[in-house]
Amino acid sequence: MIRHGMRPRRFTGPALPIIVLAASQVGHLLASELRAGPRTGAHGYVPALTTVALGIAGATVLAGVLAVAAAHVARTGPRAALLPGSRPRLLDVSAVLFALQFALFLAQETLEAAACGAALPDIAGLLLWGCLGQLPVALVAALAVRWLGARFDAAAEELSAAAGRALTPRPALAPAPAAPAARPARRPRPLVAAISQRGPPALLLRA
Amino acid sequence: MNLYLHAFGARYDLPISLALYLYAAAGVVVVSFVMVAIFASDRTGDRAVHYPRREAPFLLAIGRSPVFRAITGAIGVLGLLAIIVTGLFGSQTAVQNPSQYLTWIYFWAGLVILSGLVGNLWTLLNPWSAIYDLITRGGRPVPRLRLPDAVGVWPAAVAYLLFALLELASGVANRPVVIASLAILYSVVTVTGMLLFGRDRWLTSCEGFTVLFSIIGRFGPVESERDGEGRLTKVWLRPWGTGLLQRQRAGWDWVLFVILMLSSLAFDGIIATPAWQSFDQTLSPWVQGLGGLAEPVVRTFGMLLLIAAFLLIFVAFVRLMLFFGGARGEELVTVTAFALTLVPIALVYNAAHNYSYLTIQSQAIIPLLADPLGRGWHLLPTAGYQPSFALAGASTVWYMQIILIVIGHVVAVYLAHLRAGERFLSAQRALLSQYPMLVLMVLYTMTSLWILAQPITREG
Repeated sequence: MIRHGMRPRRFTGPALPIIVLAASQVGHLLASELRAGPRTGAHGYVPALTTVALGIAGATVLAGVLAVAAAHVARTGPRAALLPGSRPRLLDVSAVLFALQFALFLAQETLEAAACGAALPDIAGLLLWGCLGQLPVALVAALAVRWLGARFDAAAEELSAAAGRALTPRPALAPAPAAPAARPARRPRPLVAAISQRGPPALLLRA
Repeated sequence: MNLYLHAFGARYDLPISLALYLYAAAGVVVVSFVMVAIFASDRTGDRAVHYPRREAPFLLAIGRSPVFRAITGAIGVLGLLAIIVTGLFGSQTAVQNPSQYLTWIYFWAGLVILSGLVGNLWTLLNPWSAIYDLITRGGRPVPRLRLPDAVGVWPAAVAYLLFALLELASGVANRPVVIASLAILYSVVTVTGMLLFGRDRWLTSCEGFTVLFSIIGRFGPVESERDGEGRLTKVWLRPWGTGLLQRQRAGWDWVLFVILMLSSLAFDGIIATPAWQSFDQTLSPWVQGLGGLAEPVVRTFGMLLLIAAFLLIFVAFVRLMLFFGGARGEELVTVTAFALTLVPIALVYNAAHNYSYLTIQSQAIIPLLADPLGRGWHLLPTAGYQPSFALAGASTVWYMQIILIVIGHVVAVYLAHLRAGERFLSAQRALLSQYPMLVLMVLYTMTSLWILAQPITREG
């Protein structure tokens, strides 16, 4: 079994901006939908942006899942199971995702208000709607990131090991195998004893 | 609660834009950070959290005096009895019942602030420990059951959350009979718990107010030491706030408790804003099938949302601090230690938010002393007393709130910096780690002030 997590967060690091963008847009859409409907005013662009961001995030997740599948295929031999590596704490992942999503939400709301020439949204409203939209999405995204991240890290380890094996140059002439060590000579069994082990089963003889 | 606390007759017209006040307050916090970085950033290790203290034998003598203990215990028990008796048998109109003032103003707002100013008064006034001492005649019988250590202060955190929900979400906090009944129920649970699990074990793990006041009291200038049987052995005086630098058992239960303190106070402010009305109205159709429970459910949901958000934001910023600072020692110890540096913010926010409660509404109990049960009695010549607004004009309240909020955040910045010096690898890393904390403090200062400004100010 490979101890995964030795070089952790291969998935989380590069995928984080995409996941944060997609999750924040889903949260934004959720909050906008609950408030007034997203297709009105400054929020008109949110559904389209959410679709694009979710598409990219979906492709990233799919790529991750395919990498895990490839690692399973590449893994041969008796140790076929590919075990997930160490996972970061759910609280930590949720906290990072939520903080980034929330910051993005605040920036977007401020820009939307500026673009429409409206007054800046009030802090309490931003806090409440931001929490309502972003929190559940951050939790779901954190669960997904933890699950896939641990498996992807393990898969990446496995694939790089497999690639290393495939690319290692083999010697043109294999070295001659070492001569097997001479077995210790068996002591010959006495002839009578050998014969006595042949013949019909003892049960039949008794009959 | 239908007291006229957050409702002033006139709102204060700000001479300049509210945004300028917010930027100015944030500027003060930033400047204080620079000052701390210049004058206190060379202290690392245990030296960073070392603070001066002076032994106070006169306080030790007072604290040890059985007469003093009996008097303070009797005051606590009398307060509890007053809440129960007036709540059950007095007027059921909130503003005409002393139980409301005793619970929400004198205990919940006043005693918390006073404990922050002078030290943990709850150890003296706790009515349940006085009742327990009365039952056991001052002894410490061997507990029948043992509370596992893993319990931590989780039960106390739950008790605190339930009390905050009662105050802010239940919608029944202004019914004297409910408050009295819950006071009886809580008294029975607490005294039974102390008898079964031991006085100190129950109080320090399961009694929400004891844990709350133990945290708040760390801000105060009095520090004490007790022996194994709970007797005072030494008392010192120390600078305000430095008690929060003392070592503390690490645990998420403590972190959550501090976050609960902060977020419940913030929620108390938020529900007075128009944004909450809009939020509430938007969510109401989803829960209208619940009838009378709809409003409490939305409020509970809002409060839990805010608690979760505060916790996650705090954890995210602590992760950043750990990233920049490279903590030495166990991570959870660092997280817990930094959570305690937020206590000054909770304390000053409590004072700022309840300033008008304490200066105006607290006086309304004086005429009620003449007739506490609303039976037409004239026990004292106070029936015609009119509350004075001398200390609580809208502009006075606003400027007091600004001063308190800024002071609290500056103290928090200072404490966090000292703590960083202790926890992180070098003075340079400690300073680096505090930039995220500075951002958090600036954001929190501006948010707090904005929330506090809503009910009393109008932009000029």
